[in-house]
Amino acid sequence: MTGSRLSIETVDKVIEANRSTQMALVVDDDAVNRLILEGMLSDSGYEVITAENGQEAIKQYVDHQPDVILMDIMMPVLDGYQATQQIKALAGDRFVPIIFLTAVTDEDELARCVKVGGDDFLTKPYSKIIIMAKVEALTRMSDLYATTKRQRDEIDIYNEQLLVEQKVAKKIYSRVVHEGCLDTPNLKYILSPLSVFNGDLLLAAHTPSGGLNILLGDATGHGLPAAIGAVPVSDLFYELTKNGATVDEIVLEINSKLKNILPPEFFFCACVCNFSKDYRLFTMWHGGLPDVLIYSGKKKKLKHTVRSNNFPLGVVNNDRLKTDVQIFDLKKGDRVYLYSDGITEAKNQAREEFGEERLLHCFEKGNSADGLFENILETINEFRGDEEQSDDLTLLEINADPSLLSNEILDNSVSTATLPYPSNWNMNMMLTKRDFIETNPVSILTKFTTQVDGLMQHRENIFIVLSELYNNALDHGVLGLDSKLKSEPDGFLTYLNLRQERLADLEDGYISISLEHKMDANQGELVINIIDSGSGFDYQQLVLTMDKSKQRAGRGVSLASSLCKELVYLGNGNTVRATYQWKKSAA
Amino acid sequence: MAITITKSGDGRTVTIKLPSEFDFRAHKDFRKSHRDADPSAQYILDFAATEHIDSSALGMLLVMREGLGNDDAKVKIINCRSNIKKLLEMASFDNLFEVA
Repeated sequence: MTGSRLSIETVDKVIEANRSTQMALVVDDDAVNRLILEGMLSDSGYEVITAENGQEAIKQYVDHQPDVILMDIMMPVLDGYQATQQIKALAGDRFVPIIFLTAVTDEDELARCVKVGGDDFLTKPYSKIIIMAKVEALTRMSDLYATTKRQRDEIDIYNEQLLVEQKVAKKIYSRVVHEGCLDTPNLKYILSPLSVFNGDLLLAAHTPSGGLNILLGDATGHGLPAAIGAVPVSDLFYELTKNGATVDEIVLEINSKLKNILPPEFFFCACVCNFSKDYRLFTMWHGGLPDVLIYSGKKKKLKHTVRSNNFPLGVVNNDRLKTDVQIFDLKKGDRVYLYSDGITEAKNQAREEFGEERLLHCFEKGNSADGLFENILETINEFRGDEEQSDDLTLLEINADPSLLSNEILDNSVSTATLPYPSNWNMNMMLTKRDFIETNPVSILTKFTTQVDGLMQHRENIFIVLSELYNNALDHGVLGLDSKLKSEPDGFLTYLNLRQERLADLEDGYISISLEHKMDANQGELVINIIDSGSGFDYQQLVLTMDKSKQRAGRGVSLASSLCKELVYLGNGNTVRATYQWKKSAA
Repeated sequence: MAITITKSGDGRTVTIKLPSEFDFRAHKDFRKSHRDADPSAQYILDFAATEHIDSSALGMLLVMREGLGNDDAKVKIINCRSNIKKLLEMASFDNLFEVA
């Protein structure tokens, strides 16, 4: 018998360890049975309440919410089956284990116990070990059930909270990351969010001079992390655009911000671009997005596909980021297309990707440019069929047709606060090797020059003139690079590599920039003089190519020239003088 | 297909063979492949079996590079298909990694 006593002690110990204020309800019309059970349970640490019939049991259950119920079957007033049914109904979500006490071993009777909601049954005569083991097992189950239920409730509450938080965050987000002026009539776009937040970012704002700045970004990842990164990008973009910053300045500011705040695996593939007020000039910086497409409205075919050759934003520090912008001249009715990789990576049911070829094919049909945007979307939708979208899908079309714009937009050129600035001045700047590598004189000079009353609205033009002339002086003058290289296949890359090489090996060489500014009551004039240490070139030849205006080499200078009253090369070709003139606007 | 790692006899060269879809799902395995890595060793990322990567893969490459000392990291990317090579070039990653 020693063994049996040991077992009882073990059971007692287990129960004692788990016991807190577990309460048992004993329901039996037989006072002796009640007494035996009560004794066993309270010995094991249970608080015990009793009932003499089913009716009383229900009342006790409602009043005390016991943790476990031991239920006799045959009782006066209300039998155990009915009481169990009612208690289970009252308990609802709560799990109250009910153990039937029965003298019978009839299988039908036992099955009925389970059917009405009983969890187990005990046959008389009672053995303490078996009773306590069953009670204990069921209490454990009940605890597990309660824990699971509590966790489920917590998840429900958490989920609800999260949805509310997301809603609020979305509201704040859309206030910071607003669409700016994407409703401008010459823009068409689609931006489809994959989740509450979007990994793609599309921003547009008018510049102080009436031009249009656009940023298309694609963050690594989706959802909250992508959205958090988008907030400073948007903030900086709008702020800098409002202040008339040039494309390269916007790129540098955003890059340094992102590099500082984002962990290394997060970054933004982006394209930052500017359209001049008359949509004749398109200036662009391109880091990591798919090719930008320029479509000739007149010839009904693509005239440029521009590949990214820069790091995405937030990957490297500013000193390693190239901010050279690319400038294109547009004709009225030309279209520029920017898109994220969601377009080319859209999948059909066979898990095939839409791909670049299918996209380019949309442009080869020679159709009118008017329906192109819709046609591209239709083609993608047809291709995808019912397949679920797996990435954000963003496509933007800019129609280079300022006649679509209302005068309101065109007149919206903000005139910035005009403190009196000197109106007749000149300045000189002498740059050497270290400056070529470490500074961006074009930005500094543009910033400085456009502080002058009235010139703010010409900021983009002045930037383009300075940038083209400075880069020519550096690349072709000081570094002696042949621009013909660029027109050879793969030449552009060779060109860039060679440029880097020669810049590193440069021993002497300089660029001297002088600016002379004059202004009277009606008009102003800015004369830009750039002299480089290079050996010059046969500029008579250039004039010819400019007239043909087809050759890549002359394009930059021809662009700059078209903005100026006069642009001439002097000396042996190492000196260039550009005269930029403007009428004073009635303030 | 999982990521497999092979070390040369002297442990100086570690070759990491990437899966056919190198995207966020490979994140854990990829991270494991160079956790506690020796920054002085030469790492070779073998893309031979890789058909597709996404931008999070580029992110993972950057994290690896940072873990190995940024500009001091010796990571070589080999056997890229043309579509992947193009993607790496588009993001100028050929300036951060040796792409063979």
